[in-house]
Amino acid sequence: MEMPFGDEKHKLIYNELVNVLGPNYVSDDPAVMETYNRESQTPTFLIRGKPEFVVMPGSTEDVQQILRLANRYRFPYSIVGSGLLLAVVSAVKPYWCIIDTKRLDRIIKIDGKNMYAIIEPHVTHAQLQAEAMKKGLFNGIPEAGAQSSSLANHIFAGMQGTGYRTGYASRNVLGVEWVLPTGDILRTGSLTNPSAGYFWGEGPGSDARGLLRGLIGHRGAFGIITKIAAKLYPWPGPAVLPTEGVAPDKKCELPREKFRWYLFTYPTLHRAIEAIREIGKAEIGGIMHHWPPVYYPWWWAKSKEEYWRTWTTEEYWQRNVKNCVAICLWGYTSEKQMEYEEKVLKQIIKETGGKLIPDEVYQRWVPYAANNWVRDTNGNRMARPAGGYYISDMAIDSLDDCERNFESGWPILDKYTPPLLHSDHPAWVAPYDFAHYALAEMDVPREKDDESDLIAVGGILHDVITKSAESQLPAFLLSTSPYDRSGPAFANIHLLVAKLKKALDPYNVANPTRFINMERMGKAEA
Amino acid sequence: MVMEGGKVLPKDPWHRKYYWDMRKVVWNCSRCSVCKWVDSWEVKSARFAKICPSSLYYLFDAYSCQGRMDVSLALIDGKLKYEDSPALLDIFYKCNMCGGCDAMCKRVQDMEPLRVIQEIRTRLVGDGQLLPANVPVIDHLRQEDNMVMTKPKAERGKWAKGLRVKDLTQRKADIVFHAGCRLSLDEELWKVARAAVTILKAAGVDFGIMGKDETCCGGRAYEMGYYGELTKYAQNNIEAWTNAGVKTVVTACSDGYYTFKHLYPELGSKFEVLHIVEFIDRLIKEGKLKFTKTVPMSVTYHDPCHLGRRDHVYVPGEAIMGLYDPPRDIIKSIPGVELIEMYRIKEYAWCCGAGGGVIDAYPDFNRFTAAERIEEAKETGAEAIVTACPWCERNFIDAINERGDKMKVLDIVELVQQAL
Repeated sequence: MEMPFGDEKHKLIYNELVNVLGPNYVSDDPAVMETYNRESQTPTFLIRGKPEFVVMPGSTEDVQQILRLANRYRFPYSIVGSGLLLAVVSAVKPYWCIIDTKRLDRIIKIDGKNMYAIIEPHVTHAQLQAEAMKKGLFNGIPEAGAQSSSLANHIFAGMQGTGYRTGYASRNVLGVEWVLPTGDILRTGSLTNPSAGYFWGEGPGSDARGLLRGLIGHRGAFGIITKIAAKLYPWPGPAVLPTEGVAPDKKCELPREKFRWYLFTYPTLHRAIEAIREIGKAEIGGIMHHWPPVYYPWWWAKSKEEYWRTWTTEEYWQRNVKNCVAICLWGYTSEKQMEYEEKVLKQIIKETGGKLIPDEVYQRWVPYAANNWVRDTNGNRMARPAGGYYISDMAIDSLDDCERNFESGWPILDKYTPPLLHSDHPAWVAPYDFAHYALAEMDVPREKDDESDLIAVGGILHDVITKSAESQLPAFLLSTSPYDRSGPAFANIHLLVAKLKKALDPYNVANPTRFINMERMGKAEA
Repeated sequence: MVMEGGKVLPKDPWHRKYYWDMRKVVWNCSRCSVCKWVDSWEVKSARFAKICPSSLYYLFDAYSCQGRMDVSLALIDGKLKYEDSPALLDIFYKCNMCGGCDAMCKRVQDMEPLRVIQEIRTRLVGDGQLLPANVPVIDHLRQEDNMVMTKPKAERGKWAKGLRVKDLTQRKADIVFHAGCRLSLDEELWKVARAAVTILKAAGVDFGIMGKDETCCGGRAYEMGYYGELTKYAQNNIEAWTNAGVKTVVTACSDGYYTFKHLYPELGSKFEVLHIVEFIDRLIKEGKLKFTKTVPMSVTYHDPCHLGRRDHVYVPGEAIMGLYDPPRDIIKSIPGVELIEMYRIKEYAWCCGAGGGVIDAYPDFNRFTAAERIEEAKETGAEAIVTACPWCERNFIDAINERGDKMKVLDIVELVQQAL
């Protein structure tokens, strides 16, 4: 897609943006635009779409002004936090303006007594957690890495590797300052009542936060969130995360009296999932997962070579951690609690037929990678083995349906491998809220090239939507499935979403096409 | 597609075993943004969580490692021409070349992005795309053989007046002490070079200096993209040291140390290269230097980039080691000195701001970077910031004076001298 750089409308928009922000915070330089057009999951053909403007608002008022200009001059815009998932916000139309949030980077407050933090969009999980830990508090961390935006994670998708205890992140949003696509401000959650403060999420009722929720998030298509209050959880560990070694040979071991990892395997995935259910019922543990074996070298290996050697040549991880449940017990209150939880866990392992992994495997992995799920630092190694990866299929549902989703998803992976790479039927089960429900995700390494990108957009997308409709399992492709594509398979949800979009964004300027493609829907209606 | 035991592997062997290929590095940048931040495990403070000074100061992603990979890709693929972008030179030169991004990318992605930035700078100069602010600096170097603007070569060697050090232009010794441009020509820092000489003498080391005939190492010019200046000064220095019978080069300049150790061997150098802290640490451990005085002072240590994470030949999977321990061991061994660490240390250290040509080309950015480090040092409560590089010291002194701070700036050799 060629952008009409430099025409009269471009110049007009540029000047108006400079009027609002000053010249230091607006760029239309072609080289600067090159730096906002791709990431590991961006299909190669989308790389040709570059924005025409990048702007840096320094306040909510700045954001309002930018959005008002967008409505006045009808130019599309999108917003980036850390930019990790740029594929869903990169430019696909002329005059596209990317709003970079780097100047909105304040932790405004951490209320230790009432356990919440007020943050702006560019605060990372690592920053928030580092400050929260000093007050004995904890914020959940997504698998995307702790260098990603905490606010974006809370209001965009909501998945966190710590969700077993911290729940789905969008439910931890207590209050929201929201600049609607028209530029108006909506304060919701507890802020509906101006004097209520941020500590409690509900306000008097009819709360609009629900519009922001959902598995795929709103991708900025309903406006821009400039502040949230996020719920924090108790942290029984040290004020500073303890680490040793020099990168990439890093260790992180938490005090054993408060944190103990257990990893144990089962003959089948089904039995591993049943063990997760039993552990959840007992309400023990701080973090629990079933990671597919391919995750282990992703997180652990210090080099590509080590990854491929242990994954494909030695098959070390397939041999040792297949159908493996991993749980970290957290002694929130005392060592006695730790002792109790340990006894309960051992009983469940015994009753469900689990087998502890060999100590050699435990020692090889746990100190170097396990506490990534406390503060993720290696998540982005997923792109390392081959330049990219796909979240080929993901669903949040009951544990039973997670299992069904894998069974119906693996044949699709088989069909497209190659060009997708060896993944050994991945099945990541991330239980939330004591395993009341779980995320089922299948991640696959791929080379970043046209061949595998065309497969992803042309093949897997279609097959996953078809499979989901047939099985009634609402699976979504994070970066490539707008509502108008997947909605017909799910009670025509896209029709409701389209009405909301039209009401909130009458000129369709807020990240058009990615969340819902209103133009395509309009053509279809016609 | 490669198949191994029925498994589908990447067809590009680069993914299975890393080797240097610039386009593959830039193409495979995943925009994870780890290059902008201190490793998440190591974030101890929201205020001091960034690792890239350029990204923090200039904000737009173009001024981060990730952005520089994107622009490099566009240049390599011909999608972007030099004349297309007024910001192009700034994008590559508003970088301290501190290697923070590089350490992070090696940890997470197994890649060497700093090498890309270096190669693009060299290419820019080769193609005549000269940063105007760099031209007088290089002209000065060519005329005066040093990187300290306005200082004539005639002043080089004055720092050693009265020290009675062997002149290696006339005599021979196994060891040459190379003071470097900054220590030789920045009068306020002469005391550091003099302290180094005093310590070496106290330990009974047989060494000499090149005095007024000493020249620049060429390393800073190389980082600005001028490879020819590196080769010229490498040839000069190698010849002079060879004629003087030198076997070991000792320097108190971190830039010089990096250049001699990592860049000169490709140009024919076979000398052993030691930074003065490494040498002093060795002398202490061999019992040749003994402390007789107490120095009651709390200090924090700043890792110079070229002495720390950049003092490292990349081997995938191996720790990004630099001279992290010798300076700390020296400080801890001095009676009365208390070492209090900053948040960002060793491979995560924040740069002083002086590197990559920034000190001359972008003084505002240079000062900002130094001031950030001083702020971090102040949080430790230490009385002094100690380092082992004269460029860092110059920057910290200026930042402290400009802000009216009270913190002292010391070279590690000054601390050692006080304890002798």
